[in-house]
Amino acid sequence: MLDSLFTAAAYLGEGANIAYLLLGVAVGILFGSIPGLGGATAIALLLPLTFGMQPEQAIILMGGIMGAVSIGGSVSAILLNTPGTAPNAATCIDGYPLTRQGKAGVAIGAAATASSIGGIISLGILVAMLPVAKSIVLLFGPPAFFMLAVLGLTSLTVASSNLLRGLISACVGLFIGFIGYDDIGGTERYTGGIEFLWDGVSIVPLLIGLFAIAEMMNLYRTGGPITDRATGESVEVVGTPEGIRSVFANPRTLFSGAAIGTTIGMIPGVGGVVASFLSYSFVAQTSRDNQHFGSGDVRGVIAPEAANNAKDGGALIPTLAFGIPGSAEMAIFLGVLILHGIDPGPMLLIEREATILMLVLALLGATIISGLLILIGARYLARIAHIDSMVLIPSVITVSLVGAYSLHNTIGDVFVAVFFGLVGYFMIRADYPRITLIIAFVLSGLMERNFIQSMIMFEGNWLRMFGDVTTLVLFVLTLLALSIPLVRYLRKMRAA
Amino acid sequence: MCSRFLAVRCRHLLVALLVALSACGPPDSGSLDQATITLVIPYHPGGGFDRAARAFAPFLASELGPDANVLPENVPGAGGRRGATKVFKARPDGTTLGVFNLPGFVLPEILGEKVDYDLRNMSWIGQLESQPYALLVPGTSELRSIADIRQLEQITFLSTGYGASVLAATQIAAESFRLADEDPIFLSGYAGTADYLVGLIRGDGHVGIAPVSTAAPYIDSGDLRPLAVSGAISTLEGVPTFAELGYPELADLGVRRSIAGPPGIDSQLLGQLRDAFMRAATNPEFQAMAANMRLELSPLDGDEAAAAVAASFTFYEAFRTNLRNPNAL
Amino acid sequence: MFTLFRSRYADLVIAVLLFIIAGVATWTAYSYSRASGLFPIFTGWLFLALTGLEIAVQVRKPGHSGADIESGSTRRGMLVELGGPIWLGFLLLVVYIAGFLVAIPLFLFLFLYLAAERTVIRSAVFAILATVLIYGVFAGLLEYRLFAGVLFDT
Repeated sequence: MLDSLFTAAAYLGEGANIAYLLLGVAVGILFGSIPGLGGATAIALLLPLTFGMQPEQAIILMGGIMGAVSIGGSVSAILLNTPGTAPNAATCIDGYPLTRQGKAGVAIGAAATASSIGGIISLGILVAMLPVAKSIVLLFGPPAFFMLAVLGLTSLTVASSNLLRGLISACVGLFIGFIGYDDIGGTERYTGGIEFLWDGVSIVPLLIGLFAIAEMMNLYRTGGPITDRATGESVEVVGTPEGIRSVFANPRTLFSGAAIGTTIGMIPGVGGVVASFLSYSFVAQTSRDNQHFGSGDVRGVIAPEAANNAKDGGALIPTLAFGIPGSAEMAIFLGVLILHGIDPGPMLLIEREATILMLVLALLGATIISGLLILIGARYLARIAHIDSMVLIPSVITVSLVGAYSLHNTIGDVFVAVFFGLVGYFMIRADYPRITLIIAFVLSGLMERNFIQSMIMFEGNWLRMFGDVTTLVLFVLTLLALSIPLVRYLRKMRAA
Repeated sequence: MCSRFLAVRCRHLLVALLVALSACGPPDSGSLDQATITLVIPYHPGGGFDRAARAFAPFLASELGPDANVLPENVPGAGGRRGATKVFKARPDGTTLGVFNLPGFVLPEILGEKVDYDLRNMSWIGQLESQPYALLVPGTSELRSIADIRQLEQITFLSTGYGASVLAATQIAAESFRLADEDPIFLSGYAGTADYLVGLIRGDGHVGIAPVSTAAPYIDSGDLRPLAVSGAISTLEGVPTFAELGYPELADLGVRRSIAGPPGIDSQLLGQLRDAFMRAATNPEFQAMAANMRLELSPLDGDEAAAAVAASFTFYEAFRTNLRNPNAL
Repeated sequence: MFTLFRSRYADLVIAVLLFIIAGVATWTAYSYSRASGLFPIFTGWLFLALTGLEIAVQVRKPGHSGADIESGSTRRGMLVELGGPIWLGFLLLVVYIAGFLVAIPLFLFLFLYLAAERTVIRSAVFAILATVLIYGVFAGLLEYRLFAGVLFDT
């Protein structure tokens, strides 16, 4: 392995190849920051460009994009409450309040640092786990996936400030997830005959509506720039270093975020949204002194940002072990590999070790470089929060709708974004949490599909699900997640 | 003086406008060698379908003429039906073509769903690929033959969801193996081929069917073992065909990718397209690229492609009663 | 409806609305095949129970909700509350009919001129520059074809 590592590093160091990496990073940051675009889109768009390249160069370019996308997305999440990519949605929860308090620099500094280090940690875990990659993937069958979805949903709902409304939002999210063609039961559900809805609602326009558009309409109502306290030059300047320091001051948050991100990333089909929200919820629930989560606790930025970069390392495991893409970007990345004559599948790791290490190094490089770039630019980026909201609002709404359209070249996505923009505005005003809606939506398909498959597997006897060790472990974790608020409540009672 | 200057400017502008307009005009009805043709890909970018079409497009373009352009356009949605409908309803002037998956686009009609296109009437240009299916068991399985499968007390098949070609193929195979009495479980609903292949390795089920090229990496690594292959001749070393094992009706199982235009394309244009297609498909450079991409090139000309479509309908019609949703409960 | 957010019974009305939605969704779920209907039915009943609970909570103590009760004069408050949705609806309408190329500059200009109360020149310049930038990135760099509107789409 060490040999291949040196070969890969040497190749990466050559002039033109560094240029490809930087190009990938630049594209990744740009695409990541604009809602509606994202890593998968960037890779798909640059795919034709790679036709004339060496396979290794294409991989370096793709690695550059993948490593930089979520850092780009964190900037919009923090400054505008608009997740640039779906996994950045969790960063909005505490990142945006920090901006409103004039601490955008802190948030951006923390996000960039946590992203980079989270990515590095996950790549380390990846390399260590490669020998057992196959076994890990084989641990998760339909019963385990179902229980994982339940765990994700419970732990997040339980974290909401108003449990009842959190659950109601979750139900709404589940129903939105039911829209479309169900390919197990063979029925079209809740589409009202609209052909566009046959594929269901896409998460990106949903997020754009619920977060970006809803927030802009709320800003229209409240007025003023996003940062409402008058802040001078000095606060921004010290903001970024303070943000960087906060990451090192909270190692537990950082490591738990990276660990959860890597683990969830390993499980194909679950994705970055769950990884970032789960790590956020874990930190929010288990930290001491956690009353400030949701109103500007920097740990609420560190955890999800570490997670959403860490998931890339994790997502490589099923991708390399079996050719199952662990994320949307990986799916297209596999296409790039095939295009260049590299066969994804169990033999990839054995036959093409140097190539894989090249990808790992490219991801590493991209994570670090994009982090540095954002840190350097943080001061200027933070200024965006000072722009008069009356200029910001129409701009963000416009770009959001264009982004929503660009996803699938369908006007339907624009309607979805607008509709959920109104729903989101309604939810803000009526005080129903949007987070649980999103998580329930994301998990609804996973939960249902795997539950029904488990029922088919076990011929209706669902108790047999617990015969699977992984499922049992996840079930116990779910019970634990449910008990945490209960324990805290009891402790409060006892203290009183 | 000013007016003369303006007059010159106006003339230039007029000329430029006329040139632009003429370039935008419809192609001469007799020829496509300068046309821009849209090749509709009814799926999202990045998938196997998409790659095959994009690899082929430039070759088709160069065979049509030096100024011809073939632009792939992704029109995903409704399981491919949106793209198919777009091609079906386009103007039959040869400038809109689409890549179709058989039997994927045949099945909705057989299964009784409303479709807005009629595959049998499309103007078929040619077949690009033909992928045989392999009958697979886990590498560690004790099953060595179809007879062994029939001995199992409870058999579970893995596949993607209802409406997909693989589930249909699985149901037909189960019928052919006369497993109806054993009441097999069809564990469908996996998100994609790789997902149920890994499920097979994991032990979620006993048997699965998948295109040979997708299964090949797993066969090479020993994680999966093929028991039989469809087609007239086996493409896997040492693996018999269904026909050789006594199930000739399963020989036609498989996936084909063909190119077609909307119904009613003028015969001269159609001839042009078909000729260009065959030349491109048999171009050694394209064939080398295809081999690299693991495409199973099996070019057929327009008439043969159309015949294959008709044969598909007949084949799946015959098994219609076996293709009901096994999990509708 | 704008007055709703300032009424003490706002939360109750919302809960009832959600209850009705839950009912419709559950009822629809019964019309699907068993496998397709299983989860929606289960979730539907859960939804009904939860919204029923919320209704009960609101009936017992209709205190002020999380929705804030700031107010200016009724008419101003109304305009501000609905302003966002109205502008959004306008943008969507123009995008649908005439496409992005017309909608973006038109919307930006009108918003800046009317809502942000900028001068005509500034509004126009910003609208044009922003449109050029957006088209430059999306249509130029990324080679997307942006929606041309039902009016212009062949």
